[in-house]
Amino acid sequence: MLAYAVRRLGSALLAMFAVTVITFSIIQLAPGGPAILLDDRLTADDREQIRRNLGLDQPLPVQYYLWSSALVQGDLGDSYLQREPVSDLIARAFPNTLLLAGVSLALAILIGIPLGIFAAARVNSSWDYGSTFFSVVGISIPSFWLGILMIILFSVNLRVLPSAGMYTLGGDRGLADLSTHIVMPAIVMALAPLATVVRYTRSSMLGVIRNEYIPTARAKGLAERVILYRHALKNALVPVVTVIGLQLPVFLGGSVIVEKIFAWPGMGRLAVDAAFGRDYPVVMGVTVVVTLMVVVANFLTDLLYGFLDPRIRWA
Amino acid sequence: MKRYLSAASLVLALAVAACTQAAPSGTASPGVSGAPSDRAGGRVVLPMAADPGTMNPIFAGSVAEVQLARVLFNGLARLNPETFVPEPMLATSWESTDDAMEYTFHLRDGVKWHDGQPFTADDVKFTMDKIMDPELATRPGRSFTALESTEVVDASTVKFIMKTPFPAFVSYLAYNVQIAPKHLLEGVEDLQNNTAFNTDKPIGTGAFRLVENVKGDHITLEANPDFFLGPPKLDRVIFKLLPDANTQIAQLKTGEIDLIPRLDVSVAPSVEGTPGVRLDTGVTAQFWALHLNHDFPPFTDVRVRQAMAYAIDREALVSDVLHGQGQVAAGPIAPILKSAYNPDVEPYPYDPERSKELLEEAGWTDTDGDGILDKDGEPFRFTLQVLKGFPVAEQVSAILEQEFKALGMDVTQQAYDLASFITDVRDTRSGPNMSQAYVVFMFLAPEPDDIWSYFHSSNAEAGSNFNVYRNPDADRLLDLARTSVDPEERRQAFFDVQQLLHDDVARDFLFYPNEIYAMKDTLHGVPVSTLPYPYVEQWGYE
Repeated sequence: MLAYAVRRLGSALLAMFAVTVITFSIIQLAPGGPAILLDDRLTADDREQIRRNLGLDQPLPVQYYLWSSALVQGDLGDSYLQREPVSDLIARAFPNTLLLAGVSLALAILIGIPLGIFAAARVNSSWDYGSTFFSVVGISIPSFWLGILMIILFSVNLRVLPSAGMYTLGGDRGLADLSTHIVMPAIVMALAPLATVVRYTRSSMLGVIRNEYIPTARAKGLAERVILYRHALKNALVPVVTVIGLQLPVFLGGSVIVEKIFAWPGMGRLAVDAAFGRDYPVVMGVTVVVTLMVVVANFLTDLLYGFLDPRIRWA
Repeated sequence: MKRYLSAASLVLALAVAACTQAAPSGTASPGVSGAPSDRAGGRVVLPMAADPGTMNPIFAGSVAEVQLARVLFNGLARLNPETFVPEPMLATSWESTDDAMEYTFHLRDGVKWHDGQPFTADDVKFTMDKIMDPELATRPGRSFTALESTEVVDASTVKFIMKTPFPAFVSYLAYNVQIAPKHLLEGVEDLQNNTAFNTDKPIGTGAFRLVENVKGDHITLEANPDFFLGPPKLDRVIFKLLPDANTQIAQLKTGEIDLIPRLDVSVAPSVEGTPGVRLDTGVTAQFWALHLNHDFPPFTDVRVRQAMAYAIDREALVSDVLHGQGQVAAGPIAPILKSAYNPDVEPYPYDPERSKELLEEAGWTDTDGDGILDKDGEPFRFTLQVLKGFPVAEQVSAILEQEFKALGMDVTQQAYDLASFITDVRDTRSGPNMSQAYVVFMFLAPEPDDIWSYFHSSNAEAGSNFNVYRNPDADRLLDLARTSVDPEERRQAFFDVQQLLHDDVARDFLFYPNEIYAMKDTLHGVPVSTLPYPYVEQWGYE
């Protein structure tokens, strides 16, 4: 177990190095430059001065060396656009993304898994077809469209939910206020993963139910509920956990579209604003954090396999 | 992304895009939280597309930054949004020597910074010196290349000395410069990253002062009771972070925000007719133009440029793309700039027959019958470079493509995002990948002198003369208009240069767009201007 963890840590560091080098190169190769250099009234001298001020006049390997040695000391640099430390920006955005991701993920799991089991237990019934239909719709609906539609329906027409932000202006910034604000973005963000979880749970359950130990359990006279939840579900969850594990980084990276439409101040929006504004330090900072999340999520997923299925060993 | 509004420059029709008194505790009915009349003065909630990186007027660049800097800080003068005549602000009067080499400003007495310190001539000199500091490469600084120095005469008098005569100085000063406090900024090592002042606690002289900046959410300003023009009508102005333009519209409809400035004309119909919301429009000094690179072979011939000018139905562009919210353009100076606008220059009429004649004269005919014009064995071929994400640019480009194809030109479109458009198109002016043809919005200072930046050959390599127009006659007229101290001579120079730029198709002028502001219909006193938000102290509810 310990050796396994050490080995995983080694490969994580390697992955981190590769990802940062590649991202560092790609953003520099992208056409355009930092937004502050885009002003048409800049003279050639002004441009040179700004590049010098930002350290962009150095050769690329030197820039990477300076950036990575600062990173090792926990310094992600300053944003070109926001003119404050990248770590502050991320520290502000990340909890918001974590909250939205947590609620959406909980929705996806708490609704998705029971719905999948339900569909599997009544395979080929109209309930099953209904859940299939729901899943296909859920996977197919573009989130920007659903988001705007929900705003028009629930905010503009029905006036029951706030359209954007995390809190009401001038409100108490309390939990109740936050809850009403998170409803729509969480639903929009949860829908596609929820549908995916339903599909995977259903097919995985159907596969497991065919195993001989299920008829055996029935023959013992066990209740159908016990069979489904105690015997079948645990084994059926391995592929589902894999799928959720694969979705984790997507959640933690923040949903660009959902965060933009609902003005949710999270990581996705930070990343996209930085990408469009060619705010290199922020792009790099977000990359580091998201890479870290992917590595951690994969590691946790692997650990979870062992708990679900004792035959799986970490080696 | 964070879009940048350079003070007086290209920057395309940027899709612009946050506690306060007795607002309901926001559990069920968000719609009422924006209700204005909770208190006598009320509050206005305005959208902002991105967190401002700074509110310090010396460095403000993005739309949100400029908006906030202009509400929190004041200039020596400000331009009336309707007449563009400078009006007294921190200065009560000013005079210049006859040769436009020296300007003396008399400062208002008793003005206080938001922290209670007195405003003095030292603040003015400090600000101007920072603006002119080459190390800082500030935006406003670029308008003042003619400025030699700023001198403090006494605590309430400042003198500006020029290198060359500069009659437009007061206009640019009113337009581009807000004064920052010396007592808080002097000696700060890194003014640009000085977040303690720039974002956390900016101290200005403006009608509103900062209460809190909740990054990622909103910025609250409150009325400054000591404002030198008297206390503002409103109690609060709140800037709410709303990056998505559709969400801004939804929030205006629910009453969560009170105003959207510079509404894109393509979404105006979806806002029109909303109960309780009014659309105000106003004319501007801006223009849209087709840019033909003067060094790109087919466009080097003036007859070809004129042929293309005759091929464009400008009236149709104004009625179809702008829904009538604009005016057909003949030159770079909009009618609103009364002192310099030449009414005798007529826009090119839509006349495809004339286009064909001119192209034939220039040697472009379809000799091989393939439907494409050719000359010396070369087809008439170019790429229309399209800036994506700006509906007007996209729609106009699509229409022009058809109009040019109808003439027998081989036109293909290529799309760019803003950052790549700027580096790969706008700023790639020569060489094998030089820009060819594109439609963009030109952001002019409301001062006719600003056309100098756009058409003078000295700005062709770097600067705002994007399509490298070089004409010694135009240079001479532009220099004369820029430096002449005789108003009549100056006016004549502007008149002549407009005719020349039109005849020469220096840029292919399309139209002057109107600005559209959508706001709560009880809100009054908000001038429709390209650069928000002047006269904010006069805003109020009925």
